[in-house]
Parts: sequence; structure tokens; C-alpha cells
Amino acid sequence: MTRVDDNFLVQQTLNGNKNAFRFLVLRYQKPIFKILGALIYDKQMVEEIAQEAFLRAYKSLSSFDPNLGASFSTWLFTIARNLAFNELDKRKIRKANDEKIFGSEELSTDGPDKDLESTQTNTVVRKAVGQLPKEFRMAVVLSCLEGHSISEIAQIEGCSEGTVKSRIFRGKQMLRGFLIPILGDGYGKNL
Amino acid sequence: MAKICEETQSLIAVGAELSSQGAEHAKSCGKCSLLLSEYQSLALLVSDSMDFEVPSGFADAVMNKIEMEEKSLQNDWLQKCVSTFERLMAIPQTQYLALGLGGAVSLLNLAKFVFFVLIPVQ
Ligand SMILES: [Zn+2]
Repeated sequence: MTRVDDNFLVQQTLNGNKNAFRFLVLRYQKPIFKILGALIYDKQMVEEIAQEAFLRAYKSLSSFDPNLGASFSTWLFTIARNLAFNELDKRKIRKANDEKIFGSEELSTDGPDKDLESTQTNTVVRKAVGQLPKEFRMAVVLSCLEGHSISEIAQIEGCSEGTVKSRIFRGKQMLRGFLIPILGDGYGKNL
Repeated sequence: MAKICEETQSLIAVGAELSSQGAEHAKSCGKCSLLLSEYQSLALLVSDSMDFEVPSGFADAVMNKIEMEEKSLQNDWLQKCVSTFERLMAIPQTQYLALGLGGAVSLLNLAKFVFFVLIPVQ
């Protein structure tokens, strides 16, 4: 089955077909949760901001212009990112949040543990991502999610492609530094 | 390190798309292919670990919120109209104007009745 183009769904929504917007929500709910989850770990807050992001997108859909170069997903992720940062700033919980979520303790470096359950692995990876400086965190997560080019990440982050490359490079180096001592060279998987 | 290895590895490290030549090289070069699969594993690991479960019915919740927002916007508009009317009618000049208009309409109706109903009958 062919995938219906985002811009077509946007146009349909603007013509009054709300169901078309529902398709867009279903299409992007998962990546939005991933992106917001990388910035904030409070499940309820992630859900609230995700809802707000879609609501804002719906309300300002007429201002989205595909001819300006950004895709709908880039435009939507920018809204979600900005909302997440605003909310965190507003509540001034960023620091407390990081400690609560990712743990303020250092990552254990007892060496590779082949018996780590995948949930434990996920916790380790999330903690490692949480230890990245905030400006690196988003760039690394976006680059790890499928289909995000450097230029798209630069648009979402509102910085140059060079800055994005440097953030991804340094962020991934740091992540490798955190994870290889714990999960081993293959991150617990066979390369 | 060969120049092609350097170029390929710098692209792999930032997750940029490899050119067809770079992709071919990454397949055949031991060092580059190892680095590529390591970074692919890392990306997969990060992507999987960020897998926040989307609550069931999330899309419906969003659509309900949109509906509610639109309804409340409509109600807001109606409310605004009513309150603007109330504010206007609280001004004495507007009251006189309304009274004057009402009186004028009544007089016109009376004149219409006299000239088009009463007089033609006589
Ligand atoms: Zn090579």
C-alpha cells in the first residue's frame, strides 16, 4: 500500500477533513514520544506536551508552507521541541528532572554483562543519553531516529549544519564512552 | 589512513548519508564496515531505548482536544458578542439611540397603517 503524502493530508485537513489530521497524528505520535522522551522522562508530561504539540500544529497548520523547504515532520518536531524546552524552563525542573529521571549516580562500569535484560539495557542507554549535555542530547537522538538528515536536524534545532555535525559527533563519542565499558564493544549485540 | 577511509568514517560518525561510492567502500573496507555497523547498532540502541509507549487512544485524545478547543472557541466568540452588546447597552447614549430608533420604526409603522390601510378603506 502506498503511503499518503504528508502534504496531501495537510491540505485535506485545511479543507476541513479532520480525519486527515488524525492520520498525521497516528503517523507521528511514536517519533514525537521518542523525541520528547529524550528531553523529559516524565511519562505524563511527555503525553501532555505531545498532545499540545499536535494541537498547536493543528491550529497553526495554515502557516505551514511546504514550499519553504521544511517537511511537515520537521515543522512538527520543531513545535514539540520548543514546547518541551519552554515547559522545562517554565517549571524550572530541568535539573531536578534530570536527576530524578536519569539518576544522578554515575553509570556502573563493572564491565560487559551479557545477561542484561533489554529493559535494563534501555535504562542504561537512557541514563547515558541523559548524561549528555542538553545541546547534544536532542541532536544525537534525532540522528538515531530513522530518516532525519543533518539539514532537518539543523532546522529543528535552529542552528547550522556544522553545529549539528559537531554535536552529533561529540555526543556519540561520549555515548560510546559511557556504553562500551558497560555493554561491551557490540553494545550487547553481535556486530 | 586512506583519504576515502577518513571521509567515510567522518560521515559515519555524524550519521550523514554516504555517497554511493562511500557506501561501496564501507562494504569492502574492514575498518569502515566495522565502524558503520557499530554506529548502526548505537543508533538502534538509542532509538529502541527511547521507545516511550504511546498510550492507546492517544490519537483520539488529540482529536477530542481539538474538538473541545474548537467548541470553546465558538463559545468564546458567542460570549464575546453577548458581552459586547451588554457593554454597549450600558452606555446612556446607546440607550437613547436604541429608544430613538425604536420610536422611529413605530412611527413609520403607524404612518404605513394610516396611509395604506385606513385612508384607502375610507
Ligand atoms: Zn575504509
